[in-house]
Amino acid sequence: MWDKSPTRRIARFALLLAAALILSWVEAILPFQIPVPGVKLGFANIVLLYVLYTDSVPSAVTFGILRALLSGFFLGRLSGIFFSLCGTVLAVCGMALLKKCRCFSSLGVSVAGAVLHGVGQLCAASLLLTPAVWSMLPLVGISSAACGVVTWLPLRILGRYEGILEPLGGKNMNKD
Amino acid sequence: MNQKVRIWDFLLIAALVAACACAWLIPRETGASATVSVDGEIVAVLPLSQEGEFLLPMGGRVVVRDGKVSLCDAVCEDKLCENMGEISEEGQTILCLPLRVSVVISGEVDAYVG
Repeated sequence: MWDKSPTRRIARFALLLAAALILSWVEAILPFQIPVPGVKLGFANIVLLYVLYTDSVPSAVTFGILRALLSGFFLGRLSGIFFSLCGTVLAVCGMALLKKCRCFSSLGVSVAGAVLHGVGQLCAASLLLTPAVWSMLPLVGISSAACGVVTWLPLRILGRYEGILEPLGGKNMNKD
Repeated sequence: MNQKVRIWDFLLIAALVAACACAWLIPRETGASATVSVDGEIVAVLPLSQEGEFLLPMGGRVVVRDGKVSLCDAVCEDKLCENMGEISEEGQTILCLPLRVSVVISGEVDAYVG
């Protein structure tokens, strides 16, 4: 029953947040980048998806917002915080809806999340810069979809190891 | 998370990609001028018919050559804006998110007043 304790939940959440920040940093120091503005591989999205599937939707939303803020501060991309906040919020909400309708596996949810992240960033850019940024939607959408598939793969591989991806209060934990 | 991938996943991905591809296929015409904005405010309008250069206040140049526009010597950290290459069709855009600069091609020359 100890998995129900709020302390454990908070510790787990913090641990995952740290993991997501490390992944953001690793992504930032990679020697190659995707040549489309605003589009990244989105390693941190792996952890976000994990939180969405093993914790609750409110946790995932909080996770996304905190990650966007903290990685903005840590990586010194203050100008990007608003963009990634818009992207994250839209992505988490969309992924939560898709997950809820039960038609899609984590692949569909991951890809839709990636595309929505791009769309959210374009929303932010069209507000801050100029509405003409929407002309980049095809490029951003298609490259984001590809990134969504790439970030889904590690999750899939992790899922093969039983017990790792048990939800909070899942069957393995309830045995205790 | 361990569910099997379903046909719906592929349909969803196909639908998203198709929607983006459709937006790509809309024919565009060659533009007449390039509007340079910083922080959402227009700072310059360059006609594509003549060669020219605009120095951005924070560093970097918007260059018009052979009817095509590109951004050079940007001072941002990622240089994605430089890598976007040359644009010349109506609606095409060069963006630099770190510098908050956008260059948009528009159809009319007299779009800029004042």
